[in-house]
Amino acid sequence: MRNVLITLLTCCFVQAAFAQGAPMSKAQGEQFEQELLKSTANTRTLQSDFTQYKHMDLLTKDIVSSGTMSFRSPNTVKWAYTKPYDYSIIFKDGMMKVNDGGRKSEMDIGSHKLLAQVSDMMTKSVRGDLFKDPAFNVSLFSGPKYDVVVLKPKDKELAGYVKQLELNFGKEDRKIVELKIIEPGDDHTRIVISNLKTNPALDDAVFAH
Amino acid sequence: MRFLLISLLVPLLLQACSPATTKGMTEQRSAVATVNNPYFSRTDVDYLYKMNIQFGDRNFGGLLVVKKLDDQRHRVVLMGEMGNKFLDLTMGQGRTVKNFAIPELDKRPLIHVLGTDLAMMVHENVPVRGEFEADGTAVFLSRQGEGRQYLFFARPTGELQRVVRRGYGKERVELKFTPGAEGSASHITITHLTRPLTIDLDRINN
Repeated sequence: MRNVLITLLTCCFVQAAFAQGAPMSKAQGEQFEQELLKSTANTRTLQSDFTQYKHMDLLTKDIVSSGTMSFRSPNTVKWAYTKPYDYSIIFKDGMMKVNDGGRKSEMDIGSHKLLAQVSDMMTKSVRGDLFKDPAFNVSLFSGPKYDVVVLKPKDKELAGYVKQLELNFGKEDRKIVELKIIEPGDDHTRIVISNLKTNPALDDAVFAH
Repeated sequence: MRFLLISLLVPLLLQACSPATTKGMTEQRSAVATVNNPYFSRTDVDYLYKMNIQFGDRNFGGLLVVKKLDDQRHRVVLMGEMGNKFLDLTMGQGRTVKNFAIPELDKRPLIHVLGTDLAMMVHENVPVRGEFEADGTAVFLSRQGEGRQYLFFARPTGELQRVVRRGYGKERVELKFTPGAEGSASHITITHLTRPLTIDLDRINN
């Protein structure tokens, strides 16, 4: 009986330790990086739907919202929420532009270290080159469905807000399918990307404020 | 003649001293020890609101989550639409505890103002110190620290419609509830009457 219990517990611990998959070897990591760079090298624009799940231990169920994401190289990202409210946020050239149900505002995020880092993370996570960022400790995992990049901030201030980021990439096309931001208390925001289109025509009107 | 003058002056003086909040209302002995604010009274409900704070010409938006923890305490979390937490407070038993705040909001006066307003909004069983009645409205007086709160209930529905906080002889804050589905409030407005601050909350059905 004791052995059964130990075996069961060991299985649980192993499963928890490799929730993102098994750690990649150095060779696997280098290959993954090359494939990701190749996949994103010719990416000028991206557009997708997204569903966001905000998990807080406090709540009985996750807060769910959804909308569309648009990206234009090198550093313009728009997250437009359409359910359950209309809200859009554009990160572009060091500025953050918000349209909150018709109320518009702009903010220079250069002087706001945290916002600047969040903006940078968002852009790089969509672009796929976040794992090269010197501000993070990067670990790579190979899961059954996706390959996972786990980033832990080196900066203590940022680590006070973000414990780690997890980016899931498709094994075949190396496109981002899921982004998870985990807070120090383990509450997290999970954004699931769907209907991702590479290099659609996105004119200025898409990013108009 | 002297008694006649006093008997005429006393009611006039009393009326002049009665606060504008209950002016024209009849004070009566209250039969209840507490009144109930029902809008955040269920532990099994996640109360989720779209929030807008207008301070002067500046505007700040986000989501507000309220969760009743037990009979005494509520937890209130303000976050961005992208899920990033701004402020996390636990309130109840006459005090507010800060669990988390981003640097931009981690200012004692700001947390005090927001904490006081939100505590007033979620306070469930409010002790009664007096009662007034007028034209289909029952008003219950409660003392909260240095200030007073007046809770306005519609007759005969018993709906809590608004709460007014007074301090230092003035109405300071007015809170209005619009009742919604399942006993919650569909819309809440918190208006500061002595500073240019308004907070609007719209219920989101998640």
